[in-house]
Amino acid sequence: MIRVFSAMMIDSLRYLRSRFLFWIVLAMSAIAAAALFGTYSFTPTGMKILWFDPIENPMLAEDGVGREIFVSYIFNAYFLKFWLGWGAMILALISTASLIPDYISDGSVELTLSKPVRRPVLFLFKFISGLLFVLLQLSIGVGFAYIIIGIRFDQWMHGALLAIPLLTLQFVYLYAISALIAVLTRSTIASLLGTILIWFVISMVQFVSNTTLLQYEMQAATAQQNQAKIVELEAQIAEESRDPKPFERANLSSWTTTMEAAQKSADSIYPWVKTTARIELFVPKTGDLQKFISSKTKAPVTNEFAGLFMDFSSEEFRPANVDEETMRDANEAETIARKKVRKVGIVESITTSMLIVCLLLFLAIWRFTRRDY
Amino acid sequence: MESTIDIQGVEKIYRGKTHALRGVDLRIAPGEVFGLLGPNGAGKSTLVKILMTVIRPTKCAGTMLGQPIGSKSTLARVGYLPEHHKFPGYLKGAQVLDFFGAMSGVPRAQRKRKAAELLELVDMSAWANTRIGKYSKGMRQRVGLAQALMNNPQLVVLDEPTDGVDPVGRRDIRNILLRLKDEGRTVFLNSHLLSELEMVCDRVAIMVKGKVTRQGTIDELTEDTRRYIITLHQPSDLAESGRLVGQALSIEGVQTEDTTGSITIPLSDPAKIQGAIDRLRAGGQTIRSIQPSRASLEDLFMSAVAAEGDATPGASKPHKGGER
Repeated sequence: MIRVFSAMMIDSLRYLRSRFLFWIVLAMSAIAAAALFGTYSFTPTGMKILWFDPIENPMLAEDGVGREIFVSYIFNAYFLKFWLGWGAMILALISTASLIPDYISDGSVELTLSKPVRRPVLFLFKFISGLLFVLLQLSIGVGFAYIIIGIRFDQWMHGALLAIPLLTLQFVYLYAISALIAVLTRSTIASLLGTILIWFVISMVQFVSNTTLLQYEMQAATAQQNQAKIVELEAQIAEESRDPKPFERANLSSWTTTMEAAQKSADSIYPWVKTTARIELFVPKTGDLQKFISSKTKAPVTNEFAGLFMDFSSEEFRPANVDEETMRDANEAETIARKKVRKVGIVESITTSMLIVCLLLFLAIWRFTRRDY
Repeated sequence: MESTIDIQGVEKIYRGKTHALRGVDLRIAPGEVFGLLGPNGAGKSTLVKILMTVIRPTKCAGTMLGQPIGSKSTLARVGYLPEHHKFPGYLKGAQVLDFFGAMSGVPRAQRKRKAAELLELVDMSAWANTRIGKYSKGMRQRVGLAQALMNNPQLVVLDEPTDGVDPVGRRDIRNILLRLKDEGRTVFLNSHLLSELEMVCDRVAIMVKGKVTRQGTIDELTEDTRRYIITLHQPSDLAESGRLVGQALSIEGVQTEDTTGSITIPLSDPAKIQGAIDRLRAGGQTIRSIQPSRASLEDLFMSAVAAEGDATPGASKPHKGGER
């Protein structure tokens, strides 16, 4: 069995080496890593991009607090999510989409089926060998980025290395769909397009689920913020044993109104949060893996990253009818909400996703085993 | 001695409609070269694929190398070259042998040596490190044959092995098959090249419309068609001579052929022919030649096909793929 497995893995490696796209994606990963982490540096007063004039920003200075936040954000938002999570993943699907249809094509499948290896084993080994593409791409791409970041910025993001197994797992989710369609249709095009379509649907489900949860958490955070302010002021007044002053009364009234409105809004959104979460249970949760990596690499949420460059509560960014405190509170509530949304029960997420993957693979193996070739 | 292949009543019905096999019985003895022939669509490849577990039979009883048909472990002792096989174009000749050797369970240390030997055997050593994508059809067949021998099989199943191979290549493959026979291996050949089969097969079976209609050695199958052809030199009244010969031997069916001046006598016993010779000479005829003759495999094949009402060698194949 080990002999068969290693033969199929070596065969898969030879297949990948012969694919032009494999080398293209590898080169693009290297270029992406070099562009995202090798084209700027931090100076004593800010940051410098290529040969352009330095950007004065103490937050981004060599000893600034925002330097690590900046690099971590670029890694997660652009390299991980945009390139590895989407771009490289689609190219990997394109590269591997023909693996199973070719394997079960007339003239090819007879050769392997006539060997003393059971069909489920053959299929599983072929499936696993198809993951090599992504595993190699991620190991080299993430490894390269990890080393560049470590050497250039002395920032060793060990959590980033989690992207290798976790994004491979993301590909497992997608490749299981691809494999099932391939066995059913024996068509590379159908397998590729079907997988991308289903991935789009999965992404939509996750997007709706995330957006609903984000809205709920923002309302809940706003309600809590205002409740905390009310409790604090009432405690202060009680401690001073006095009646609230007119402006304090106005504030209490305003905060109470805001809190009640936010709570009411949160309550109305909650059933949707539950419903979308239930729907999400039945799809492989590709987005959860990226969220988990982001939290492990301590990547900032969008608000925190933007905060490096702009002060949202300042007049420059604040609408005329919104005061500074309200703006700051809203920004803070959004930051809290985004961080909460990012927190995923990774074990539950992977377990439920893998149950779906197992079901897809079971169906694919069942069809592969029963079919005449 | 236990048969290498012994199957009874093999049936295959595709999607409950198309009867590809209608109760095939075959017995192949160890060490023999067995040929299965039949027109396109007769079910030859379906039968081979059932033996090789590529297709699931609707009904099948019997054994291959002592194990029930469908047993995966048996396949470690079987070599197989499918018809229209496709090796991955990114592999080199030696890599193909290594890969399929590993799939058959051949240890790594043996694979390299065996691959070199077999490439030499099929005269492909010079192409060992060239990608299959650059091979001609004949070269692929040669490597395919080598691949089928990687696991040192007791039984070699070859589906149209000379397809696309030039005459020199065919002779080489024929020699390899004879060598396999000398080594005591059993060879199951599936082909519609009758002359090829006739040259190498110990026994043949003719399959038409999913049934084996005839089976045996070529001598057995042609027994009824044995005859002697006596050609006369400038015969006078050939028809009368033919009649007199029939009378002398007390047989019917003596035929004469005016254009060649020959008389065909449907007898296989040389002793009995002597009477015909005496009668002709007594009648003043000069005998130019006496030849024993029998029907060719092609004649047998055509008569079997015609007897089954399928005189269209080229009929469409049963559909591929699907489940039983």
